[in-house]
Amino acid sequence: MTTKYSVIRCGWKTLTLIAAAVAVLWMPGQSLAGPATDQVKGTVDQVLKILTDPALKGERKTKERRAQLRQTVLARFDFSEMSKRSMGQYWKERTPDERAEFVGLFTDLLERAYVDRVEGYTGEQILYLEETTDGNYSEVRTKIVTKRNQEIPIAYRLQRADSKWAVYDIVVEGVSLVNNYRTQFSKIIRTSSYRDLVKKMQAKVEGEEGAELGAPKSKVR
Amino acid sequence: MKNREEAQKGFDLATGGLLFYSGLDRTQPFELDAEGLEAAPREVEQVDRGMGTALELRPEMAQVRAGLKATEALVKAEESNLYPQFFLALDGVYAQAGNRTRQQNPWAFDPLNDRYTAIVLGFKYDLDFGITRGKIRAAQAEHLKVGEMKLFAEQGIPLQVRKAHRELDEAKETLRATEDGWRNAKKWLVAAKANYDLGVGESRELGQAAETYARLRADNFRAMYNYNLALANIEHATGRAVKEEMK
Repeated sequence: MTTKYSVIRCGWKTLTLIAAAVAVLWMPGQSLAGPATDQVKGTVDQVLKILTDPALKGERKTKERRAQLRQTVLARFDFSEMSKRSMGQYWKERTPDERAEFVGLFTDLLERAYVDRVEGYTGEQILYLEETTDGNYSEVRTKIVTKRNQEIPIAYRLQRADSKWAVYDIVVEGVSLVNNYRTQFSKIIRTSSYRDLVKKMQAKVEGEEGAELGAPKSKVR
Repeated sequence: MKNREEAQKGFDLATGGLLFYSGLDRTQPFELDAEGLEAAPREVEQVDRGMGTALELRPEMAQVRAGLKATEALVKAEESNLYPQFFLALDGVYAQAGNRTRQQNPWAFDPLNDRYTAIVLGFKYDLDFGITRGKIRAAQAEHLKVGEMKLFAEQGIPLQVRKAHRELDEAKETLRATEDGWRNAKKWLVAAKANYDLGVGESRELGQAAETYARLRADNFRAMYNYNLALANIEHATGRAVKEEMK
């Protein structure tokens, strides 16, 4: 009788655990890791592989290394979507040519900034914390832990097209880059003009290109 | 720059102090096994309980309690001089020599054939004409003085505990405020850097954001230090620090 009771109790316990696990997995939009995380992780791993590849180390390999980094980043980021969201209400006022020009400038500058930043990688730990998915949108929350144990929260906001998840926004320390750019672009357009915004971005690209050709570069990272 | 110099001065001073207390000289290599400053929150007793603990554990209270006992004993000792000191003495001799004739003449004394028993009752009393009373009053005054000190400590120590708790509340509030401050400054720095990278932000704004961040982070570190110090002050005020030290 005692044995039977204990078996029944054990069975209930197992069933409860399975039910709890199923409930967690079925919770809409909540999972610890999912396809979006896998794809972000794949890109980050690829970036780290390039950065740690001995064949791509050193000043002489900078061009090659950066080209590979840009290619990897470009494959995961949807810069047109980022541009569109960053322009906000002013996007629909732009002609197709203006849009193409803007996306080009935006992509170039963001790529440079991102590549610049990841090149400063010195073995920090990257933790994948949580993924929240709602239909075709997902947010992958990560955390960078520095060697001095400082934590930098970074969240990737992604949009799905077929089976590919593409990043359309990055939230660093709680600051959404797209929201920030939207505010800044809107301010410039309101107080000056769209042309002035483009001019500023063009000047920055030229400055960066000049720096790549050997001119002294800003040490601000 | 000013903050940096101040911090360096404080660091040098603290390092010198540590070297001195650990018995090392400045020529020896010295490296701190620490990873930066962090607020170390821990549970503290409620004010009322802390005041009770302080009255029990504070070394000043232990000193005053011992002082009261000692002066009370001193008063009693001096008071005992007021009364005569009685004493009782007992004396006796028994001597017998078989080959000697026992002397019956009261004028002849033979120490080898002698026996007697004597009981002496006496008392000693100093006629010091008020000196003893003066000594008693001096001992009583000392006892009263220690008693007053106890009263003062019983009023002052709870006040110190209450003050330490208020300072902790203030330090906690400042820590929270500086925490929010530097986090917001960090967000501003992230935004300013992002704008600068895209050519749509001014370098001046980036500089301001970086300066504000550095200043507020320094404030936050100072608040962490003050918070930890306030916690240590509570431990000191309640006497727990000494108790821990003695373990």
